[in-house]
Amino acid sequence: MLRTRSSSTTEAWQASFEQEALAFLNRLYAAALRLTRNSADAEDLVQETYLRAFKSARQYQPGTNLRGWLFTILHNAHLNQRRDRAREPVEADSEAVELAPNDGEGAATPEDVLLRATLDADLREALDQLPEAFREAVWLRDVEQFTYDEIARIVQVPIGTVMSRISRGRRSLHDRLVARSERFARRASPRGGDPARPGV
Amino acid sequence: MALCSDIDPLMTAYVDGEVPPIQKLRVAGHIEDCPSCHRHAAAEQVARSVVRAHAESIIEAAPADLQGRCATAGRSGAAGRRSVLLLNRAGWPMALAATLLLAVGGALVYGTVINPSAAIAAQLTLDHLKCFALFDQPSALKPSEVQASLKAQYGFEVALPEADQAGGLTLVGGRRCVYLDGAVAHVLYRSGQVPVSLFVLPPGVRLSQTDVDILGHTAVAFTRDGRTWVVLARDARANVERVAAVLGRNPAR
Repeated sequence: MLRTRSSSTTEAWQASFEQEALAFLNRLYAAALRLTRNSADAEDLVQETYLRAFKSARQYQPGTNLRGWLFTILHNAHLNQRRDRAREPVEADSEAVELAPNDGEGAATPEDVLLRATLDADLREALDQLPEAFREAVWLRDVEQFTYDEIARIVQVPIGTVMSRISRGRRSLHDRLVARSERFARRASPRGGDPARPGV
Repeated sequence: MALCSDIDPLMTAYVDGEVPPIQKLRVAGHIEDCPSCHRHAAAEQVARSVVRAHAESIIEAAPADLQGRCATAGRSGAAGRRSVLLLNRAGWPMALAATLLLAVGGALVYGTVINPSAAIAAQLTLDHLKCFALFDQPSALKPSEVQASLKAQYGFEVALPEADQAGGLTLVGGRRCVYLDGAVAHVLYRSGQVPVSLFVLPPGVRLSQTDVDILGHTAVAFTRDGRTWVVLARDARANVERVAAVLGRNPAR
């Protein structure tokens, strides 16, 4: 439902809304980078997100979840842009992704080793290798720490699907990080290890 | 003992500590007895911990100028106007972009070579038609706003006349034209109801011919501030020349 405001309160409200929305710029940009895996596309996506958000500002209910609302717009804008560009196969909602078998059995690497050995760049690279639906679910859950229900609203799928994507995404991410860590261990072992990766 | 297929849907909530106590005991019991589910739970737990440990440091800061560009969207977009200042590659239908590139592919070498004027005019005409057809234009913009946006977003230095010195032209937008490696500034005007484009070409690009009729449009070129400026509209030559005179005579600021 549209609210009616006088022109002065509308201006003040818009300024306040703009300020609140722009506070999420870095978080939206970081998510856009993971979705697009490309800084130029991420910038385009964030601009498009804010353009849509500001044009639809009246649909936003003050006091509700602005961050979730902006991420929903980002998600939809990303799908639209990708559809328009048609430059990569749609994988986000394909049945194949939902039905993908669990990745291998995984290695029983102790948690503390991976925690110590994983650098930001390693993690970004491993995340970027996940199928998009898993990557987005893990990002929204573990970086943005949205609830399952919020994620379901953002990506517009049932909660069960959200949980399945998070689960498979995390397991696949784990296996990629383990494999990466083992590659470095093999390379580093003859010379006594990589100083940037203690314990590997 | 519960089946793995019963436990699997609860795994994420279990790892997140969000299953109800009764189910938690059931899941924990199964995981303890089932090596496969135990490995899955452990892998999920590790990945969760790693990502959450990096949750803040993994956030990459947005480019410094992005906030300004998004804020511009707020000022123009929130008022119900589609900002032509913010048109980006995302707003381009790829098929059309491809057509534009094909149309000009291989035809242009700029710098020391005189460019085929007709090819450039055709390309600019397509850009003119595309922009006015695809994007809404606001009622009027301030020259300072458009100049600042072109400078901030693309590094273009374009001096535009103030509204009262623009010979009746209404300024409705400014953007980057993807033509010539994206080094062309495109300023959008209206003369009454007639869309008029001003293109400022990159340094070194010269036209061998300064007036070209193409696709029913008239293009008039002149040199200003060391660059070639092209005024283009579907209008009588005399009118386009009048606009070119207005834009060409205003002193650069």
